[in-house]
Amino acid sequence: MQSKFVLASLLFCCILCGCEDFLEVDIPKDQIDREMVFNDEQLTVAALTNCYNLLLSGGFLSGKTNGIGFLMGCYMDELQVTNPNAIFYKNFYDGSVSASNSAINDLWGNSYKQIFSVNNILEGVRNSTALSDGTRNQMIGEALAIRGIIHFYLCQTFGNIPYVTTTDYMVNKQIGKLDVARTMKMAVDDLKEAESLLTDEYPSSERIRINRSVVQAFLSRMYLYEENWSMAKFYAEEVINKPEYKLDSLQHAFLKESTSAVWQLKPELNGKNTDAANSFIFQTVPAPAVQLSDHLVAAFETGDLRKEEWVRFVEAGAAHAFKYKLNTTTAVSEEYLIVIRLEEMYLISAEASAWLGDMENCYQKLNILRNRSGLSSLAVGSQQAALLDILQERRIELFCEFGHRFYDLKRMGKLSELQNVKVSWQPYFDLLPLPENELLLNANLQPQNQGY
Amino acid sequence: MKKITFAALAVPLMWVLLLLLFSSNKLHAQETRVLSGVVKDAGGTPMEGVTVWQKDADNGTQTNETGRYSLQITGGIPVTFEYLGYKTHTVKPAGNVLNVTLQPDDDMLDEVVINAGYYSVKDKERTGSISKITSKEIGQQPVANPLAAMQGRMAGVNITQSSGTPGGGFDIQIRGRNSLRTEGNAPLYIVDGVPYPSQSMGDNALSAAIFAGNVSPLNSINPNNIESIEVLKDADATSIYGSRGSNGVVLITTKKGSSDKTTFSLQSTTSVSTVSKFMDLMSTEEYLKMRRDAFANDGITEYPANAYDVNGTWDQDRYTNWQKKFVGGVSVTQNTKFSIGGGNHLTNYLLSASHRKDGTVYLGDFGYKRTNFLLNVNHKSKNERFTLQSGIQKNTQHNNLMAVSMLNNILLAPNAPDLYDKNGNLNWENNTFENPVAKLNAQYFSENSDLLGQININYSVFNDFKLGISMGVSETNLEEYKTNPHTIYNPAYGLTSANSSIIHSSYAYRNWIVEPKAQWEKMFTKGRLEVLLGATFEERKQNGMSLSASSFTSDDFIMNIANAANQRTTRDTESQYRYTALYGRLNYIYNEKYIINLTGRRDGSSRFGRNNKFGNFGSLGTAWLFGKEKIFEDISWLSLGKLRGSYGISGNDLIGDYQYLNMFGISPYKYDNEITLEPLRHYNPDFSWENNKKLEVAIELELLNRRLTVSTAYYRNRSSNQLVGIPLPASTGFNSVNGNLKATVQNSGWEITLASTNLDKADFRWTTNFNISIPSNKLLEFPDLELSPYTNQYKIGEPITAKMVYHLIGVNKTTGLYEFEDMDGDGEITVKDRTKMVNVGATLFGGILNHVAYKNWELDFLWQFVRQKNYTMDYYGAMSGTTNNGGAYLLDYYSEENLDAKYQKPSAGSNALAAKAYSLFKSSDGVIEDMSFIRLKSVQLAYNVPFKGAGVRCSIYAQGTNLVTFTKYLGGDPETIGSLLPSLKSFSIGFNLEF
Repeated sequence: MQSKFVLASLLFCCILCGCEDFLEVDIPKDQIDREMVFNDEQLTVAALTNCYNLLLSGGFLSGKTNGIGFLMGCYMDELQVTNPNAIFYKNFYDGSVSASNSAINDLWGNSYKQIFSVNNILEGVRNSTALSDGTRNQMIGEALAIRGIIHFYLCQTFGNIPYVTTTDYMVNKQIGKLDVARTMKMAVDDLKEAESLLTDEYPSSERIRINRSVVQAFLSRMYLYEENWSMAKFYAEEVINKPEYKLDSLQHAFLKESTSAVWQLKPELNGKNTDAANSFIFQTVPAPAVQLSDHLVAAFETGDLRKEEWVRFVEAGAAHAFKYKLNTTTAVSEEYLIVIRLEEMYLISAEASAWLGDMENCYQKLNILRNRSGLSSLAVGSQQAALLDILQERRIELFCEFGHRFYDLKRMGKLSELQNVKVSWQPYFDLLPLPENELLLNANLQPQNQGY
Repeated sequence: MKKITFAALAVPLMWVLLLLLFSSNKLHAQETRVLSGVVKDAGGTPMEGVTVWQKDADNGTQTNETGRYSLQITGGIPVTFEYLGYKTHTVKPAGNVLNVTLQPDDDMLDEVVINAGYYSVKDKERTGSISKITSKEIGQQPVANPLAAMQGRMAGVNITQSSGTPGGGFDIQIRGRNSLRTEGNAPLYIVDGVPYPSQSMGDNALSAAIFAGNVSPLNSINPNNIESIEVLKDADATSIYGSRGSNGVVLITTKKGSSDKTTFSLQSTTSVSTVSKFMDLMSTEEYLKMRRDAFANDGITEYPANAYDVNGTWDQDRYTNWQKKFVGGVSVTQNTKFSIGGGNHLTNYLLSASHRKDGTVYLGDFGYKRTNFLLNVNHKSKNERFTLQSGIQKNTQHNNLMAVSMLNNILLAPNAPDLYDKNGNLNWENNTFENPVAKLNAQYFSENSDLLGQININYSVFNDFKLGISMGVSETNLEEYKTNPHTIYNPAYGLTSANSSIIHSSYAYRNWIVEPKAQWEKMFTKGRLEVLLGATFEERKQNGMSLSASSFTSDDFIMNIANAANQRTTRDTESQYRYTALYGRLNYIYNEKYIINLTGRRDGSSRFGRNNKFGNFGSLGTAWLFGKEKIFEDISWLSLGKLRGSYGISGNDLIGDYQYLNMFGISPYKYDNEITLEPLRHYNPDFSWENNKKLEVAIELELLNRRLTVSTAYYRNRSSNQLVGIPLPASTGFNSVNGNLKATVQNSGWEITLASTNLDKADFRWTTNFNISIPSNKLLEFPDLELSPYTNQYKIGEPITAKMVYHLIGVNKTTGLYEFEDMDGDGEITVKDRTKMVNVGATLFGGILNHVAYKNWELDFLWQFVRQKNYTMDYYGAMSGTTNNGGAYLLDYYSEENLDAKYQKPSAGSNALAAKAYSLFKSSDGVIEDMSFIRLKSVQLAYNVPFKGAGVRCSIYAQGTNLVTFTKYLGGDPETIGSLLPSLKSFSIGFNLEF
């Protein structure tokens, strides 16, 4: 009896004492400690390439219907929404975008998530002692470039916005807004630093990560938007003069091997092609979502081969963008989403030249693009005529790509001309509203953009 | 830290044990002799199985079939005679023969024993707040989930069904919302001593469309297998569960074998169900008029090419009630159960098998199946010192549903084309109609199997000292499939099976728990002391794996991932949770009148960072049975009077595993054919337990010879150190960060229950049970609320369930648009005007249950009532004037003829001002309405078929659920609101046979 009792009691006490380390649990196999990541070159690269996936899956550079290309197509005179249902992009088409529109939330939220990710890389890499200088520069360069580019899109679209440079949520949760000029300056600074850190080599075998040329191409665009014509032209020429970039034929321009592509985003799955193709292509009429607007179709000059190659008529009066041709999977992915391409450098060089008074170069660059599309050369005209020619050329060359039409009309002060085709167009539509939810969570984002 | 803690507690315990060792030694020194005799009842019949024992010695026996016993006794110690239902008889024997007559115990009604988890307590001596329902109340309700059986029957427990789809979820709130986090409000479920997961399982990406992420894990338990459900509410009852008892504890006990005789039982129920309440929708004529008005209001005279409903493309005389089409079906449910039980007074068993099949009310051939097996075996040794309880449950569930909810299609234009053409093919009406039925080609399958095993062993080392250990394991495996064949898309996209895809996700949950405990009981001349000490070790492991595959040669192969051109593992996770605790209880009853109950627990959880792993919880409960005081003793109408109160702290660690670590996760997507790593969260290692301080005072009375039982309780729970995902603006990169808020939320309220026996005749008995709860919730303090991201969500002094909204004034008589109150008077409506607080949620609820038995007939009916405000369909619907139909009440819109309209003028979408006013309307108090309801929750009529032969019992019954609902609300069912399937009303018939 006694022995049983003592045994039982002691067993009980042993159980109590024996729980040392019981609360220590294993780390799950699909997670890695942050410190480990930045002490390993391979893992650091994996953390960085995740940022490219984020760019692809949402925000401005996504080819989906909530990417800026599709949304601005609806907002401008490029697309006609045929989907009869109340859907977020129909608000863009109808001119009834509100602060609670889901696409507005997505654009904003995904962008700042991308920015957080690159800031996280910057902080991790800068504090790490385990990385080689080459890797470190490459990582910082790519991260800074993405940070600058996303902020650039944000300020061009939303106006005054916060410029986020840290991952510290205590700072960011109350961060205030900067005006557009200041944001542009910081974005350019980030790109300039990236330019100094990166080389002309792409870090992988394809053009799917950022190198110095990508940074220069974006710098060229940003200077153009800032109306710093000489710098815009300088960087445009810089890219044009690199031997690895050549204007590709209209048929090949949007393939993954395109020689005019400067930066592409590779689909996240092997065999998948672009979201952009999915967003635009349809086979029977009426189109289930959108079709090209009659205004855009009419804007093509007779004989423009781009109308043959990049537009597909399903029926008379029902056409879709056909730059990307594959909306199905293929054995190996054949098309990547091109974020920036050489043709734009020609257009920037032409426009900057026009403003700088170099009309020869202006028309030379324009005519290269025109000739490629089977159009005859234009005679050198006045500055005023040149600017109209350039706007027309941009409209045709860059249609349905990343909202070029909106940003072009906006910086040229021509948005009000949309009133001719959009009854409900209002002057304050030059900015999109800030997401309502964000205004509620961070009072320093007040005030809402005028009109909303 | 950990080591010291437990050693420090264990060492004094060893001393106590040693002390006991000494005191017991003395007993063995006494002389012994043999005592024998016969035990009879008051009628003189010998009683078999009466326990005869010396409480203070290691000594006991039972009477045989002639009532005779013989026991070697130690002199000088009293002998006790015990038999269930009879008064315990204790005597100090003088000679060698002792014949005893046992008196039946009239107080048996009081001897209702309540399971409090780690211990049981007589209802009379209970100090805590515990609600209980038994198999009798659960009865033959044809519900699939135990929570459904509890609806309306317990004070302080508010249960709402979130979807009428079989396999869906329930929301349960025990005394209100304590936590600012939704998932932080789940109670702790314990099934036969084993903790059961409270969170929805599975891959949200697969089932979210149908269940909105709410799948109740309790679905796998058959309510008909349940013996009782106890809900622990106040500090006294819950703090022994420490960190996990903050939101209450739901204890589920399955049925045990009871009788000596082998009993077979067969039960079968068949029910038919339909949606309980439809919305009254607009007719084609009304709808088209609204559309035309909308275009007119927008200044559009020529209808756009894609306005097929009004521009003449679609037949304008056609009318379809899409509600009836998509969710108007009749679902048939069959429930069959077979069980065998039996044993003897030492060993008993129950084996039960049941099967349930549910159809759905949806268009299409879908359904749910469940199979349950249960085996419970109990045994005790001859001397009753050793007892064993064990049980095994095996449950499987199959669910086959559409992958996309069809519910939003009930608002299709009423003149939208037919779903099928003449040949029975999907009709796309020349591609002008996005045929929603195509989406039915995407299906969701789930297969859930779980196994629950538990053993509970107790050994009386001495008569007053018991050691015990309970162990349990549970295992759940869930396999889910969601197919996405290309045929769900409009053929206009020209897709092929190369675009078809499937997601397969499997999920395994394993849990074990070991809980040793020691119990000591000491009688004093006027008092009784009970001491309980125990420990808990628990581990939960979860594994999840998701595969996604796309591009098939044919859709026929879609279930076979190997046939896909692209295959991908999107998720391969595991997580582990460990928990350990030491708990104790000290209960002292003095003079059968004054009771004090002290409980405490020290908890450790792996969910917290190094410095926050441990927490202490405890409570004090007291009760005063004032009815036994002299001055009340002569009052004949008062049978029992009890005043009780408790105060204590329990906690909450429902925050998810590993949240305090700074981690990267492997992203499901690759880039450049290499894996990518994504940051998972903002880093905060310093969060810790949430505290819930609970106070309760209650009075319990039994009046008029127990014909009337009344209890009234007031409670006040203050939850502080709120453990939340603090919302952050998107500019931080994430939507939230885990942390503790200094905020305090108070839940207080009254709970009243009443039970009365209105008639008690030999063949006519009528009883009524009534319960009502009046909860109130308030944010008590929140330092620096104005500077926090919550400033536009909460307000001090207002409920946390309240929404901060614009105040709708009405429709402006000149513009025809909604007008809102300009709160800050700056002439504009901006987010700064979004300051009106409107409470969303129940402010009063309860139920009345009547039971009438007349000869062989029994009738039960339960009315459930809820006073609440909630979001109306307008919150979920679309703007009037777009291509969506809506409730007929929306016709009260502004026009020149109707200046006093409730709704603004319709717009087809291109009126920016109307769109803006509408978006403000959705964030205003205009979409929150009184949705109170009274509902005939359940009616049951049973007839007990009389049989001449003894031992055969048969009853047949008819049952109705949700038959009648009274509400002012016009948008359909007031219980399940929004985008999910409303709760169903059903009729069922069945029988129960026992022999």
